[in-house]
Amino acid sequence: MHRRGVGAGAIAKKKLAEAKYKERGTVLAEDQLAQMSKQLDMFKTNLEEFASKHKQEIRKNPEFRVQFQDMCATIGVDPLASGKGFWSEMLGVGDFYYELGVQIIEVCLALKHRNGGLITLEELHQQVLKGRGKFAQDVSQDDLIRAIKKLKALGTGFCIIPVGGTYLIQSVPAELNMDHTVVLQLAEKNGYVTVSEIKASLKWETERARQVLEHLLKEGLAWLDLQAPGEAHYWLPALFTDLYSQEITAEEAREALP
Amino acid sequence: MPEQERHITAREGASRKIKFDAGTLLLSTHRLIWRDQKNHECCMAILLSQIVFIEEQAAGIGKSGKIVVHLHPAPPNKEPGPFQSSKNSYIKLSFKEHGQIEFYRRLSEEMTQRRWENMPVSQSLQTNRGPQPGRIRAVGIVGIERKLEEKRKETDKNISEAFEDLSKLMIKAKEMVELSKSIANKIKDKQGDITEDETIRFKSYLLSMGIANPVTRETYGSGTQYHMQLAKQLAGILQAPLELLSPEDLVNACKMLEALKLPLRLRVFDSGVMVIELQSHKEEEMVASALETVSSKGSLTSEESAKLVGMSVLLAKERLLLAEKMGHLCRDDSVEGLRFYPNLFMTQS
Repeated sequence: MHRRGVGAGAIAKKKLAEAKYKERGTVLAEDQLAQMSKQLDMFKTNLEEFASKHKQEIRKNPEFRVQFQDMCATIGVDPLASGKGFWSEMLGVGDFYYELGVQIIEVCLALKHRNGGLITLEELHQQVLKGRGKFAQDVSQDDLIRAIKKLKALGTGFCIIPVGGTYLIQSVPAELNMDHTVVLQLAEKNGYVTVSEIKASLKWETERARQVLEHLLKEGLAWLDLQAPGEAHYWLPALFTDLYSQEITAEEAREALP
Repeated sequence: MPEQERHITAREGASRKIKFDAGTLLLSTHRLIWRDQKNHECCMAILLSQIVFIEEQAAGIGKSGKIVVHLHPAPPNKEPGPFQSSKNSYIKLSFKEHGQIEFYRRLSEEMTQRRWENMPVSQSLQTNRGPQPGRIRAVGIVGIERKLEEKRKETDKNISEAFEDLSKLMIKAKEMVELSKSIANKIKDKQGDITEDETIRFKSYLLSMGIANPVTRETYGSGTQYHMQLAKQLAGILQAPLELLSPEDLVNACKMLEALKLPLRLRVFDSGVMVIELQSHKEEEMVASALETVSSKGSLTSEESAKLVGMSVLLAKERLLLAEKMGHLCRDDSVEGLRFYPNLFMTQS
């Protein structure tokens, strides 16, 4: 059903509206729509030209990707919003990031039993590169972050937590508030944290520290070590590999054991 | 010309203890140089003429790609290096961030061409010695660095051409964004009648450009024809999508499922978790089933429930939470986890 009617009355009304708009120097929405359609076709051509010259650059060069994304963000365009967008179809940026998203989820699922759904960006990066194989394109940490931001559209469950100089990626919908985050950041140094350490660094009361640690335990993000010297240690498996990633040969392992 | 790779670990022999981490590896016509990424003063170099042969070790699970460089015994006039002496005659270069394939190829090329035999070069490894006057060709570390700088400038030029083209493209894209904002405002203010068809067309323009849809949500939300088709594909009515989807496309398609009267629908739990369920799936049945399983076992955690019923832990948790919300279950929240019991307060008062 058309909103615009036909008939003498409607035509007259339209002429009146046009006249009014012309007076005020504004353009009708339909005219603008027609203009947009034409400009869209032109833009598509320009983009095709750009793609034929520089598509490889986007695939191969992570820094160029960052620049590209930043420019898009500045003008208010999201090249990853839809697989049917021009950017995706002609530059192939979509597929690059969507596929990366799938790989990220696979890594997180595979390691969830160990780290409760929390992983450092470094470890995620290493694991994703491993999974992609040596002939695949290089991906940077920035690429991972962008892919993860897109995954957030699928509902709670993926979020990025800044700790120290890096990020923790959370892949389960555990509720982590500011208190939890700040304790995670404290734990980054040694891979574990204690109640005394929290009280000393953050100046909290025992009860507050205890509650946060218990929540992390419950969510499977922390492991309790009651055999540590002094008081109980709360270890964060997500932060392990950062500290203990050096490959150990069989001899060294044997030497290390008492 | 000169090649460089980042994040290289250099190891002496097979030892895992004596190593230099996180450096940049530079290749010139005469030398292989390792330089600390953070402290550029710290660098080591090997003359290519000292290399007997090189081999490549492919990356694998848990290990990065490596290049092993076998060397001639050190000549007596060799400058001091990181070690007084070594029983090994090779070094291992570990490529933490890929790149060893290309580097190996270049190094092999240099080894084949042996260009150092044709060009004179000073033996200096000190970075604080400046270029010697009178030399026409740049030599030594400074010369290498200068050549690298030239190469960088050339690469930069290629990149800057790409950036230039990109900037021009972005200017045009920005015009489109402005235009679309203007149209959207008019639609909102209901100035200038545009038909439903035109609105749909407008939405597809926005989709193509990746512009967020500012038009007030109608029945189909941000959906376009594309999303309608996707929704039908998801519901199994059309053939399954053969390409990768953007997360947003998926969500937009799911939002249309119910409106299109398809047998699936999107459901958002209080926690924000989104699921796709059958239209025929009734909430009361889900809750009753959750209560039954919990009662049969006395109490259950999400993990136990998931295993019992054969669904993901996330979904199992949502079912239990929903049953709790309806008052059929109550929780026991402790360090050992979240456990649900039948709500006897309700049934046995």
